Amino acid sequence: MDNYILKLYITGRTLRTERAIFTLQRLCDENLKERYELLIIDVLEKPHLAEMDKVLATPTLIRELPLPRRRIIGDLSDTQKVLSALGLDTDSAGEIV
Amino acid sequence: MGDSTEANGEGIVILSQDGIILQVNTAAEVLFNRPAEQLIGHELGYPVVAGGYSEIELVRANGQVALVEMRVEQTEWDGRLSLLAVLRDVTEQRRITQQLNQAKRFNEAIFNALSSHIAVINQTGEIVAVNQAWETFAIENGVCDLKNVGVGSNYFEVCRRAARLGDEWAARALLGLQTVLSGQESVFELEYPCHHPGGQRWFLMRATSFASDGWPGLVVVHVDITEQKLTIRQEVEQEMVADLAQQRRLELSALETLTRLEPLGRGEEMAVLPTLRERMPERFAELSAQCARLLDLAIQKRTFDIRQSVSGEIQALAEYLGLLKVGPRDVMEIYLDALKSRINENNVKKSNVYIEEGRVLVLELMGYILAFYRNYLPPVIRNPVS
Repeated sequence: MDNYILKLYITGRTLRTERAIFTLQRLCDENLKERYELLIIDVLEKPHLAEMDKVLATPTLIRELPLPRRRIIGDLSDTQKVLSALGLDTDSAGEIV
Repeated sequence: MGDSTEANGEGIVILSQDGIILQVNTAAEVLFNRPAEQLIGHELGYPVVAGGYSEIELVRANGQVALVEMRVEQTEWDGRLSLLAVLRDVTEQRRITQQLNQAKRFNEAIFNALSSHIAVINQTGEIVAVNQAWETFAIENGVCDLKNVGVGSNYFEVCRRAARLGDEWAARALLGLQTVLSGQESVFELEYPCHHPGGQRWFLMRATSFASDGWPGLVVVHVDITEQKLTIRQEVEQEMVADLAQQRRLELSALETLTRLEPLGRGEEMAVLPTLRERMPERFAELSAQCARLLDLAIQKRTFDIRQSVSGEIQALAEYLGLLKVGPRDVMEIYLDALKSRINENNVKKSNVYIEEGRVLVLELMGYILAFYRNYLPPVIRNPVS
């Protein structure tokens, strides 16, 4: 079983970003148990990290590990689409949009 | 990319299924604040939307952040299945909305913080807004359903119903509101009683016309003025009592002056006769105390509506005084001494009652003494002419 390293880039602490963090943590707890590490990075506080990862939009969720790297942007409230985009669902080849 | 979307200023980004930027339009370059060369080939990320669109922040090259609404559609680019992301800048729109919401919340907080009961009604009388105090007052006064007096109910109709049941204040209020609404008056004010089992209350109703977005309406404010009313009433009462007390003091003073005057038409020997107070000071004190007790009885009779007369006791006192051969001056001195003792012991209001009752009592006492002299003194004294 692979360990996951996830990075979530956000812009400030708003209701929308708090909701994104909460949704993602719940999603990871339910699907990855203790096999994940989630890093929350605010681009306003750490712009150099956003620059190094070439983040163009927030929220951006990056799956660093396992490889290959994957990156999604947009609404993280739809857990099924997020799982699919991260390759965590059983039929991730399905329609995401 | 020269479609209508670009004409509307919407940014277009063509993405591969892996989220790599394949193409951008000019508007997208502006939104990202980056030239196309810096964007094409770069990984934006796989766009996930829920419910047709989602909001994202673009991290611009100048460090600023633009809030955009993103829609995503399937498309074909260079013969491959791709994604088309349409970006619309909503930064200014959200900023304005946020400011409006803040202003609205601020206004609502002020509206609800006011202790006056406020309702806004439109030209048909329909209540379109009320503050917290309005609703609280309604609930505290037995209104079970706020629909009857809250937003959506008709204030004119409420007044009409009350007026039909004989409430003249409601009829006057309705007339006044319509006067302001028609533009005949700019303001209407009405003081009205609104008593309840807990006590008396008065309110001031004030209606002011206003126009919002072209439709005329009224702001109706009800202010509890009970405290002011009671204060004014108390002040008036105190003034009246003070006036009365002043009148009584003058009256007493005049009576005292009279008792000190020398009798008219009498000889020198009569004028220098000592008074009862001088002749028998201890007896005078006893009689004054007895008179004071009679004053107490008279007050009790008046206060508690006791039917039993005190005339019998007054008559007994009169006969006793008659046996001591007192004159009118003695009677007045006894009465004034008794009255002063009671005035000194009581407040202004009660003192006035003592004075009022004392007038009747002293007249009655004089009458009985006169009757005593007529009945028991020798005819020559009763009627010197005969």
